[in-house]
Amino acid sequence: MKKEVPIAIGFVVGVLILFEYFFKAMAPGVSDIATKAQNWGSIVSAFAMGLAAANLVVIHGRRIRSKHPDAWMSWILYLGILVMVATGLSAQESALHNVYSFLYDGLYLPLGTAMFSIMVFFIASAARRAFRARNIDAMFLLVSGLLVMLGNAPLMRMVSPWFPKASAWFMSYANVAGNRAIMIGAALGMVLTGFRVIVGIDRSYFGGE
Amino acid sequence: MVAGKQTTFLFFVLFLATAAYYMSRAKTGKVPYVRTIHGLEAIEEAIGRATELGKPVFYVPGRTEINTAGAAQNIAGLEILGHVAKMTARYDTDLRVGIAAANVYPVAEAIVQQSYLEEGKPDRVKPEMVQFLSAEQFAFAAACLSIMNTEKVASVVFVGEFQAESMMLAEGAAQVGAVTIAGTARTAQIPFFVAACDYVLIGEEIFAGGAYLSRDPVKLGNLAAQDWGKLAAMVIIITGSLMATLGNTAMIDWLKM
Repeated sequence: MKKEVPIAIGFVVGVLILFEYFFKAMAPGVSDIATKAQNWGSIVSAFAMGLAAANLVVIHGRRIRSKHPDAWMSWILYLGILVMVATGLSAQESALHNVYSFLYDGLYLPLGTAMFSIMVFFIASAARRAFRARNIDAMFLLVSGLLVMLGNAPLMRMVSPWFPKASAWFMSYANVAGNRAIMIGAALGMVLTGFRVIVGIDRSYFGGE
Repeated sequence: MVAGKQTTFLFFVLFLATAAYYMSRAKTGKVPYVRTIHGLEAIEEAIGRATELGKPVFYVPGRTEINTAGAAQNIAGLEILGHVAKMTARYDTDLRVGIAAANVYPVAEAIVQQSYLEEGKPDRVKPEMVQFLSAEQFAFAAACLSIMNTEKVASVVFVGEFQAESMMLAEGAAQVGAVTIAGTARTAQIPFFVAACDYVLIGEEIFAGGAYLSRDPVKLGNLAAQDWGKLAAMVIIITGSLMATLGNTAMIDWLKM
């Protein structure tokens, strides 16, 4: 029963969503039911946030108890959770809510942006290793990558009009053709994965085969 | 039927019928040939390396929620996680699973527990094995980088749907000297994985992972249907291109029906 009930629910909802996608013109009321089913999915999955938060608390609690050298970070995490929850639940326009806005807009968002900005160094580091002509495939990657980069550099546009043309050709033809081939294969894989899950053939997400 | 979806529905039905046919055929022992997928073959080697070095294996089954458009990729990632967890249980290797989506966390935890149970080692499961890190993209990436650096992981497997954090994860793993295996069906992230990882599962290969690793004949039968689907797509693209070049739009009109 532990597996059969979720599979039965998955089958009914899966068939309903597919029916709505293809036949909603024939049965107008089905869209409302499908939307409600999807909303229920979001509500049920929201409960998982509680489990995930409990996992964070348990793991960091163990780190503090075991006197891990980085336990001070776990204390900061606890403090962060407490402060954000307490201030976030406060009334709008209150002094506490201003603290929440300050922490969110002035600390949380800039930290995220800072992390994003350092990605350029990761890209440069990976490119240094990737752009080595070790074999014929890597040589193609090197040549096409160089042409695309040079074609996008304003200076090279002044050197020769062929650089931006070569870059545009790679991006519009070679790149799009490769992308579409991958997308078609992936889309077919997604359809079959969905099919296996809906009909209950694939139960690996319960654990085991 | 909704206008503009008739041809899609026809293909959908034909495709599923082909899949059902090959699955029933596989049940009778006629299992289709599956080419070697090096990225999947490398998983055992990567876990073996971690075992020899006595260091953990780090796994991330994608970053997005399981109830989004990336669900199929998440399920593919979770399917491969089951096999990785079984191998780490078998070899007594430490496993770390980093989770970014709250609704993936209980599923991943159940998979790891079940895998260890099937290997007869349920007592080896620790709360730290499956860890919810953060739902925020770059906080999650920072947490993954921290785990990879502080725990000096020997092998890293990323399979699922990833976004801009893919580059950080892959290059971060390479910088700690880990064997990196990554797979996604998001075309924008595949180049990052190709540039930074040792082995890459490209697009459909992640969906073949479960079948390939489990050697389940029914799932392997699915792969044959996938090949027929690709063949049909190729025929339509080539015929449609030729017809359109000659000024005949019948194929385009039919596909739009």
